[in-house]
Amino acid sequence: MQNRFDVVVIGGGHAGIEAAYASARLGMRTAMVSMETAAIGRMSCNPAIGGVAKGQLVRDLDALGGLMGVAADTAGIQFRMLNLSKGPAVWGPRGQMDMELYAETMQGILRATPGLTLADGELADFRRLPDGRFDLDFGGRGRMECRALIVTSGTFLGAVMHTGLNQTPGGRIGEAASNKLSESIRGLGVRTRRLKTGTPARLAADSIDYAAVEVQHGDPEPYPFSFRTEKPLKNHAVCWITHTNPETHEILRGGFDRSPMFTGVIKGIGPRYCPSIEDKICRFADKDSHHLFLEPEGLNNGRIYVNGFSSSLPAEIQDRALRTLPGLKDCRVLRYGYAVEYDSVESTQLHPTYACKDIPGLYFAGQVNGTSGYEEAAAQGLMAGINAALTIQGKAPFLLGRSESYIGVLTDDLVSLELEEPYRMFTSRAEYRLHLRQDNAEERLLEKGHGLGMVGDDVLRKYAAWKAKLARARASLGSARAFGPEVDAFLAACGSAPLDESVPALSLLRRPNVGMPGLLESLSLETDLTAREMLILEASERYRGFWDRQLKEIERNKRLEGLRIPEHFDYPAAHALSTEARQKLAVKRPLTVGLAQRISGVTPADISGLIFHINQGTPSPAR
Amino acid sequence: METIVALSTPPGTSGLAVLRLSGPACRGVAKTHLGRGALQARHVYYGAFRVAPSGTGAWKPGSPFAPAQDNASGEILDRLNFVFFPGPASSTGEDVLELYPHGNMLLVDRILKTLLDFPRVRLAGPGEFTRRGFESGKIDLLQAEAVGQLIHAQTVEAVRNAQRIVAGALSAPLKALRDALVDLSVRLELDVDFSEEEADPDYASWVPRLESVQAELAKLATGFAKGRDLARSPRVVIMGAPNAGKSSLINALVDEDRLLVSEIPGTTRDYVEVTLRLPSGLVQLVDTAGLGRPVDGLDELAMERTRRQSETADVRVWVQDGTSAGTEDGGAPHPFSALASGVPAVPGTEQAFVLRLASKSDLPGFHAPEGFLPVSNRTRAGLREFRERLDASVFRDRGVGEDIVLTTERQFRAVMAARERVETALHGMRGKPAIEILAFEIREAAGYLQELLGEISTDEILGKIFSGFCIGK
Repeated sequence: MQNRFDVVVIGGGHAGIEAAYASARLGMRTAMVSMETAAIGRMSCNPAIGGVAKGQLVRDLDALGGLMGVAADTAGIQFRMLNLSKGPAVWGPRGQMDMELYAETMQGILRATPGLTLADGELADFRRLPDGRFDLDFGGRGRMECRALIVTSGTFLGAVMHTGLNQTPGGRIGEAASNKLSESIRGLGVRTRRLKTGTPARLAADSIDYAAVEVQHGDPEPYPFSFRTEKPLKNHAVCWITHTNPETHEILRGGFDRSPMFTGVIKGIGPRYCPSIEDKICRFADKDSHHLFLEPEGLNNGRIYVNGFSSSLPAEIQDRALRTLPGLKDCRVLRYGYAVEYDSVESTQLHPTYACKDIPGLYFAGQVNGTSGYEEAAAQGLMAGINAALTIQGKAPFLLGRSESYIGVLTDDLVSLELEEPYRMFTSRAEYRLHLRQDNAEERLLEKGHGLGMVGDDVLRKYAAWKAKLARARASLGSARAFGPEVDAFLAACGSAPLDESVPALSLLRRPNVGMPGLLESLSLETDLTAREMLILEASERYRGFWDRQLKEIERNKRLEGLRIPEHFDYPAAHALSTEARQKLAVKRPLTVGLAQRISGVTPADISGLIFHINQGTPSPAR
Repeated sequence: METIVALSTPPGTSGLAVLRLSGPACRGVAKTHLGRGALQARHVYYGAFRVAPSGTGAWKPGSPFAPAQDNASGEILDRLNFVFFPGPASSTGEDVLELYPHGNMLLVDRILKTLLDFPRVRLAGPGEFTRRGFESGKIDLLQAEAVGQLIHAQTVEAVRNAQRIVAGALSAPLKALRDALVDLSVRLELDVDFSEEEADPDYASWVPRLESVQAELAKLATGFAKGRDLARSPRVVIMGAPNAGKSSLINALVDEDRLLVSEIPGTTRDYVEVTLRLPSGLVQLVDTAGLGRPVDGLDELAMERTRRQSETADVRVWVQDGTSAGTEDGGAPHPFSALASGVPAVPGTEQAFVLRLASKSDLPGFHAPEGFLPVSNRTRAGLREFRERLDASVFRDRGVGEDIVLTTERQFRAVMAARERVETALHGMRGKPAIEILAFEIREAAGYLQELLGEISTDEILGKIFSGFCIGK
């Protein structure tokens, strides 16, 4: 085993994959070490990528050159755009995956990535050498040295699985926990907290009575996740909907005395937005039925995931409860649901580059930072991988703002909020969500991705041609005039008022519910735009006014937001700051004034003081 | 966190002074300087305030205020009452210590210097006690603003309004409006982020609720005109012929020789403002140059200024010489006397005189025309009645009754902005709503009210979603 690397990534989950790929792509000699190479890209929980807000994350990731979108398009077996009944700003693409194909696809891409070594091993201990490198000890399996270490250990740190009152150490069924790593991380002074998550039962696909459940089909013309996907996507599978009933609830209640959640065995905090079925029954006692989704885990693997039925009740209780559900009377359970308790790193200890503030060169990304979801993990991995490479190359970090990408929202929240439960992305978290749409991810980010070297020249050329085509279409629709009975009839059909005078056709798209295909038809205009391209034009027009309003606000904040605080800023010497602000800032060491602003106890007066010091030249530490 | 200290009473000689400390050092101060290790909450203590005996460690090394060496037990600066308010149940949310020394500034200064020598104690900045109260969540931003207004209020009505705001009378309705908006926001966000799980909410049923929010905001915005008036003291412009005794009247009212007076008509060339305290509040009395036949260009300029003052007046008072001596031509009617009989002070406007005075009632030949109140600046006859009538007329229309009014531009702007957003949202809701745009407008509206209350709570909506709805596919 060659053992000197620029970057070593610990973990082969969604964060690890993006981190290792980005680092190697940016020219770093990179190693990805996971407990089992064959498990790289394994989906631990639900067999799906995307969703509302999560789909946007994948689109942003893709525009920056990440892998998740490409793999999801390849391994997807059913695709749906969620929220189609609402405006395009909140649409979210989601795809059911063939789990084996997804992992294979990822492993294939990684194996073909120059400069990337995949290795099996469990990091037992590591230390920082005087020259800033890390010396990694893989127990009996040898050592490695690296300049940056990215830990993407998911739920594996100090992990314990619970089913009923039975406990098994381990981060995923059949896989061991990383207890030694957890200790060595804490040994470095990194603060951790205990969190909890859970997963539902998996059923044998051939044991379900499909006549008794409702079918949910994919979209007729799926939207790809990736700009790089050329081939039209196809649906190969369907999902099904079933629901619980009073009998189910009764049986589940009968197991509450053996629930690790309710008996206090589990101390970690679980996510409120993804509660276990027992939690739902307990908290919403007046509801006598909950929706459940039956999702295939692949085309040929014969497994069904029971979405919404996450549980850590004893197996026997789960078994009886499942059989009360329509279609599942004779179901065969392949694996019962369980809860996992794990250590996560308090993410406020990180810079927005995902580097540890106190330990230069050490990065944490993914679920280990207290997030939940594949997409959230992947986004962090990408940012950590890119920034580890840039830092080694002595370049400025790559940061994204809250108004640029969901990845910016995620990162900003992680480094500034004290999380109380696992963090999941919602569109509600993005104050600029009317702008951060899945349709304009390329316009927002692709050129940045190319500038970094993450996106190839071929993709950039395709994007440039496509952008020019959109610009032409926009211009011609801007100069076309709309007026007359056909247009009025079309507008009336959209529930919109008739025209008093001729207006630029483009401006009509700002009206809610006015779509481009119908508008073009009413104007007898031909177009060479695809449905997706029309959507992009529609959406950008519809939200233009709101975005302009927000842009003004952003401009006001921008100067502050992005203003860098020198890395070795000497807070104790900054006399224009209050004592409290000096202490807090010295501990948190925010990278920008924008981040400093969001630290509690730092007042606007302190921010003025801080800007004063930055402009004056830093008070520099005594040499 | 540093401990702050300030003199809460005005500097100067008084029976007692109040020194207030807020912060973690309060207990240490009490122990070191008042000899009390254990303190009961809100209990009035009496004891000696001593400078720290040397060697107690309370003195910073090298402090210029180091105690004299012979002062081993600590010199007693004063014997005084003091009260300890432990945090968080105090006005600032921190430990608060109040000292009531005798109001001699030499003494107070020494005590203050001694306190400032205590480690991590510093002088409070302006409004810092209130700010700490706000920061610790004891009061919201509206209440904090009103504390300042209460202290500086110029009229009894303004004091009452500020007191009610401090007590939360404005925060409560605004919080109710904000809650209504946040509730709708929760619905909308739920619909956007969890559409797979919950049925579409019935937005039409929200129209009446939103309409009532809209009406409340409109009412608050309208009240601002009154609130703004409340914040300043009214202007009473005294007008009249030259040498009618306007300046003398003001001197008599404020009981001191503030204004130069003489027998010579036209002594007052420019307007002069003097503050007068009436039972209902402070007013600005404005003395003006007499209105007569202009003798020179300067007279014309002076009279023009008087007219301009008249335009800014809340109340105009006409003063006329009750003896014939005051008229220029010895008996002929004053050319401006028409002004006094109720015609507007500035032609073409509604500016009429609210009160009319006939001065010099102590002189022979005095005669008060009908509707004129006789006064003598020399004997003070009639002045008491004048003050009462003035008080009644000035403050008659300035009351806000039981309404709570917005008093600052900041409050007004926020309410107007919220109102505008609610209006746009209502418009959208009555038609076929685009949920994400509706959510945008409602969130902005709620945001303006949160800003007004000084709340930043981005997680509030998600928190409500999770507590109120069954989420979790």
